[in-house]
Amino acid sequence: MTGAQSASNAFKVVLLGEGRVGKTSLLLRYVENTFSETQTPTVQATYLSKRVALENDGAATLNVWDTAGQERFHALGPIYYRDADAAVLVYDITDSDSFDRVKSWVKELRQIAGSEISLAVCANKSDLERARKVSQSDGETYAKSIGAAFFSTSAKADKGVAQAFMSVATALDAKRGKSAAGGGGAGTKTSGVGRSRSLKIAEEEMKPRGGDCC
Amino acid sequence: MASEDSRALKVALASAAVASTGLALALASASVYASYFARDARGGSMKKKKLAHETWYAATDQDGRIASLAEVRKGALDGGIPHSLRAEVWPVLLGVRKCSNTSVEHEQGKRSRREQYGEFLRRCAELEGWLTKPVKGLANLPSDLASFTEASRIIAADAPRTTFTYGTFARDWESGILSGDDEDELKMEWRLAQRQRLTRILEAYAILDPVIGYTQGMNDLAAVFLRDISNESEAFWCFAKFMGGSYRCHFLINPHESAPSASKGQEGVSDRLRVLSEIIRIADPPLHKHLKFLNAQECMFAFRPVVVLMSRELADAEIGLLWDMLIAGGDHEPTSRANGTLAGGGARLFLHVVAAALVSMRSQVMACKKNDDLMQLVARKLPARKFTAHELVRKAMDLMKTTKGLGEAIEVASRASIALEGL
Repeated sequence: MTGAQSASNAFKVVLLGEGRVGKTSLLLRYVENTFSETQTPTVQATYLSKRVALENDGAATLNVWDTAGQERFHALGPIYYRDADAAVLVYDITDSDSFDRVKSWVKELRQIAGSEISLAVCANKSDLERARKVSQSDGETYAKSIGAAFFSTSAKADKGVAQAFMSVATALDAKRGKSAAGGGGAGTKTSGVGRSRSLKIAEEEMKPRGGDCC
Repeated sequence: MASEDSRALKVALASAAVASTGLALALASASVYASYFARDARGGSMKKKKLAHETWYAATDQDGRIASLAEVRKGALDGGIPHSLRAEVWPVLLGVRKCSNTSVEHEQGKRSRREQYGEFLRRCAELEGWLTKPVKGLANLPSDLASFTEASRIIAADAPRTTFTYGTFARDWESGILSGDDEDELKMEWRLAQRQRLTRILEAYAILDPVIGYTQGMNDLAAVFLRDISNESEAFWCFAKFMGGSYRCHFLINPHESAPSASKGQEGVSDRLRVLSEIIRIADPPLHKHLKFLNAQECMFAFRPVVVLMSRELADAEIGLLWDMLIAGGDHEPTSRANGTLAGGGARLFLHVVAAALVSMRSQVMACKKNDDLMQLVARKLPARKFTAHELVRKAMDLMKTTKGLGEAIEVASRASIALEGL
């Protein structure tokens, strides 16, 4: 892939959700096609990239950011989602608290990132059907209510993972195409770097920015 | 309940006596730095030998008292400590075991520490019991129940997915402590036992230090102590002492905002990252300018290596060696002053280690075009560099020569952080 091409059609996607719902596992399944029962807890976000061939013969690069799940790392969230094109919210179908956590993430995203950011909901660990605590319809209804795509996934059984990321890529590609065709309306997306500069995040207001003093 | 609480307090007070040795330790470590530089200037070889068994035994008198730690400290700071000595040397360097204790007193100390540890575990069991009881009014709930429940839930999720190296397993296997025919089966049992030990240690810490409770990443720290110290209670106290000193604030992620009120206003990890930024600013101004250009001067990209003390960035053997050197240098101790100058501790050496790694990779740092590239650099390229503990510490000490003026900033920062000074 050439630099110019990938830069023109690269998307930043951030995985958010409670600890141990399987964010890292989804990502590793998708990008490296591996799975570990004992995936180490994530302490700091990292990202992996994958080039996706789209159905319309185009291509896109997904830069997927994996974040730490524990509540107290929550405050670090804005650093990762501030210039994201999409957020994939992950919960574990056997853990209803993790579903609630998704809802609190969505509230925050709406407040801080507005409607700029596309949302998708992943109901992970679908292989553990017998221990299910969150019904499929609850998940779907909620996703619909926030205008998010809904996916039932299992990183372990490799079910629905590729489809989820593919749909995200397709939707982002279509959205970008539309806004480009729209000729610079209010919702025009520029490159990630440019946009991150314009998006004010509360945390960063503590420090003066820009002014080079040394 | 009240008696439990006062017992925990007593434990903290009892161990406060140990902390008064902090200044002496810091003083000792200052002179160790000095001798290190002198030796380096003479062109010491790159390959350093680990602390020799003879040096350790020579430090002990016939009653088992440790007469002088200077040589031990120097040896450990130079080349680390062999696996086989860590269970003996770490407790001494960390101040868990007093140097003035005879062998007999040491055994008594061990026993009382085991009892104290047992108290923490009993408190864990009590609190767990509350969760199954029918609740009559919220007012009757123990005050530490909420924080403990939160901690124990995440610990239960993290303990099974903590990486254990087979260090002690291999040794126990070879020495015949473990017996059986099927090595794989034994390995599985051993792993399970390690997980249970890890869970207990982390839960006990959450009782000891309810403000921190448990933060993801602490499992990595505790696992290192379990690797080389087979006595669970001693592993706990070493972990608590290491964790509860100057590195404790790494696990206060956002003390200025949503953290429990008890931690409000305390130093948190972002303050530490700011010190790292200061070190880079003094040691390598163009590099710092580049970070500023990327709007990354707050060094959030170095969050992980700072929080988990490089334990995800270095090879297994090097983690232990790096920590040997940090402990030997008294870096885990609160900062203190000697004759008006800063004597060591306060994570000063460690922050220079992280800075040294970044400065060593400066061309790669300079090549980063956005903040995300920096994150990627730390997450992937830094571990791929396969730094050795010895080279990082050597480079860090070189950097420390240039950042002397920084002392004040670190001191102010870390004074606020130590709530467990009495640990």
